[in-house]
Amino acid sequence: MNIENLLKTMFRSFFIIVTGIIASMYVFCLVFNPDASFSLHDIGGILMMAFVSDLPYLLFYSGKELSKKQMYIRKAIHLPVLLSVVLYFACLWDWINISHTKEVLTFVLLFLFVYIMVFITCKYQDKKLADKLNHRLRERYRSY
Amino acid sequence: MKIVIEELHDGEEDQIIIKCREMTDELIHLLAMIKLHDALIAYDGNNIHRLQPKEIYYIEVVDNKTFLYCKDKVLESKQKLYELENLLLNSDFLRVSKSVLLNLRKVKTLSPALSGRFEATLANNEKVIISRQYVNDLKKILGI
Repeated sequence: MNIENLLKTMFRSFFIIVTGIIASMYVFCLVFNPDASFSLHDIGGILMMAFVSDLPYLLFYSGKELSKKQMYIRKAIHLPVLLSVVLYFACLWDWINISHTKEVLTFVLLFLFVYIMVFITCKYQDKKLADKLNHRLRERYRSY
Repeated sequence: MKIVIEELHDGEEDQIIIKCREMTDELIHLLAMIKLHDALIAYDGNNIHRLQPKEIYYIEVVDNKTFLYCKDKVLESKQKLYELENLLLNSDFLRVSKSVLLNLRKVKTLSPALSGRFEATLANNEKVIISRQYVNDLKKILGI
């Protein structure tokens, strides 16, 4: 991915992450802390978290188009890097208590669930489009 | 569509005249097919080749040099990618990334390659990545 496309992707993902964090916080607090209230500082934290979560996207930077295999490798590196960044900041801002294993585990599972769901949804949509494109290609070049 | 073939007098140049109410997609494609019979000049070291565009699988720019990839040979062109793109306009060639022009006629199958990109497997089993920002052009050309 070249730098222009990478920045576009990072910009778009920033807003997706903000939405994702708010939705995750809602579910997380609903389970563990239903009386939670949030301050201005927390809103800043959400924006900051979205920004730092965006940074591992830089792993996808490449001067030339990455092959399928290279993309899978970078994706496999991106997941643990992103999880580490998110966990670090979640602990730093007291969103989770590292000594509470259950809390950390729920947080990690929630993170993995969202990551995998997004991955599967995108893959499914791409597969559907690929089938359509293949069908059209066959139609087009059979008729000429 | 009515087809008229007239015999020319000696010394007259061969010509194709198209009489139509409007240029339909079918006619544009037909013209592109006729244009495809104009050979491109390509180089293989000191050897000069005349190459029919239909023999080319894809065209790629590597280190500011333009290469024409055929079934089992790679030739160099002195033309820039945008010049070849203009030359092959309305033909089966489509820009699929910043540095690649792909001959859609040579595509065997398309498969998802993560992040909205696609991988085209060509008739000679070579693989070419289609960038996300060019997928819309592909969809448009295939009528999706």
